[in-house]
Amino acid sequence: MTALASELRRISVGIGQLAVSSDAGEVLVAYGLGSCVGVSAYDPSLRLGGLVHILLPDSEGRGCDGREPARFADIGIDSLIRRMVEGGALKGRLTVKMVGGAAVLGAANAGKFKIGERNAEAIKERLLRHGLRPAAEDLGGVKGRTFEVHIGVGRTYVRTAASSPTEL
Amino acid sequence: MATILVVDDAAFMRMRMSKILAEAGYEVVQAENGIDAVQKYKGSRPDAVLMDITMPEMDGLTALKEIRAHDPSARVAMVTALGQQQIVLEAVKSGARDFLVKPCEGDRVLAAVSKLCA
Amino acid sequence: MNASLAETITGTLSRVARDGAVRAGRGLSGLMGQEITIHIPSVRIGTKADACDAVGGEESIVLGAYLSMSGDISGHVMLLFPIGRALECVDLMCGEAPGTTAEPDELAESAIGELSNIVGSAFVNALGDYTGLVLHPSPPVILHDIAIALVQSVYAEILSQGGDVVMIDTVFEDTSGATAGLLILAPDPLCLALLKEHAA
Repeated sequence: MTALASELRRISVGIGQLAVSSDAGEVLVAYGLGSCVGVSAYDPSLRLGGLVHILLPDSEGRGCDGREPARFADIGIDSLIRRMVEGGALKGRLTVKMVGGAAVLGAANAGKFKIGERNAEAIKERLLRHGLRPAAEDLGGVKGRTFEVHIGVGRTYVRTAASSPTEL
Repeated sequence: MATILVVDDAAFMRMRMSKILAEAGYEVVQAENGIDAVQKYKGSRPDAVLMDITMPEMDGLTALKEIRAHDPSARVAMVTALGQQQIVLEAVKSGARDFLVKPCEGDRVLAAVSKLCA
Repeated sequence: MNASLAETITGTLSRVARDGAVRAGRGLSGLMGQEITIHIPSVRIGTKADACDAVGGEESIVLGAYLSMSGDISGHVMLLFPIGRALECVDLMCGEAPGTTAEPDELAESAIGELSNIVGSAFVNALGDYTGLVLHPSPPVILHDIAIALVQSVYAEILSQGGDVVMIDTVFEDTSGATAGLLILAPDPLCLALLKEHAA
């Protein structure tokens, strides 16, 4: 990380939230992704980046009582792409990355808790509908992850409880 | 000196119970789940058993039944966090002679073991 | 969830939670050799991850355990302790001087697992005895991770079953008022109707 890292402003993107930024001083962060998946999109020509924090694979038949519809993979991905395009991005220029989708309640329970896996699958399917594929991913496993999107330099980092940030 | 079989999946509990018992002069054998408990019972013929309930592989109630089937005179006390009335009843019906709900003071454990071995 | 079911569930779980808190408090105090107060648990319907505030915020690293609950009612039980406090608890439980345990080794993890087992079971026992149902918590799965990752995973599991999230969360404090831990107990939504039936 550069010496300027400490001067960057971290914007927390919580469950079901979506943020898009072209401010070089900002870092969009999804903290503690367990079964949740953070999806980033970046258009390098505009230095425009977005991050959405997805909780569930689909919104089928489910209302969310007016809370963060982007928590669902279908609505979340559609919203991310739409906000990026509204900001001037071109789909063809977008770099998309995915982080999370783990089964953190113990390796022994991983067979039972499939939400993380289902989230990842649903997101990839939805991305495909937009003609997009993740350029990089850090998915699965048994540990929570924090996902950072550095708008200025267009880089992303992943860290866990046990490790320091690694570039994705 | 009497031999006590201590059965618990938590290393911490096995350590704690063994310490309490050894300091009081007992010999201790340890097992970490129900299957291990049944095997060790058959192998070491302990004078009494302190049995946890919630364990992987085989729970303590099942192990209690198997040990009692093998040896109807087996002296087993349950030592568990699981204190629901229905479970206490089931344990007693299956032949447990005492039922201690965790956490239990060292004195309580020694009193129970003493009663078992009497 | 309709209003009447919500009221019954909240009422039942509040009573159960109070009883569980007393039992768990006794258990904790006994294990630690000092008075631990358990706050009257808040029972929330459709609650979210703000439970993490109790353990130092979403990002804080916690040590604890997950127990899945099965039997007449299935669900999730999870105990989380901010890591510094967890290691202090281990020292207390092992009769060591505070500060002895600097890192979570195998024995420390086992001690935390057992602590979680005892406290979690205290609540499960209260729920079982109150409803006349039989509930079996699983052996504890040790957790050492970012707090919100763990809480949201339980939350997501329940939501994915298409039901309402009902969570009991409660905070433990020692005599100095410092937070010692967080308990989350969440029945599977499919079991809420059964819970209502058996509410006294």
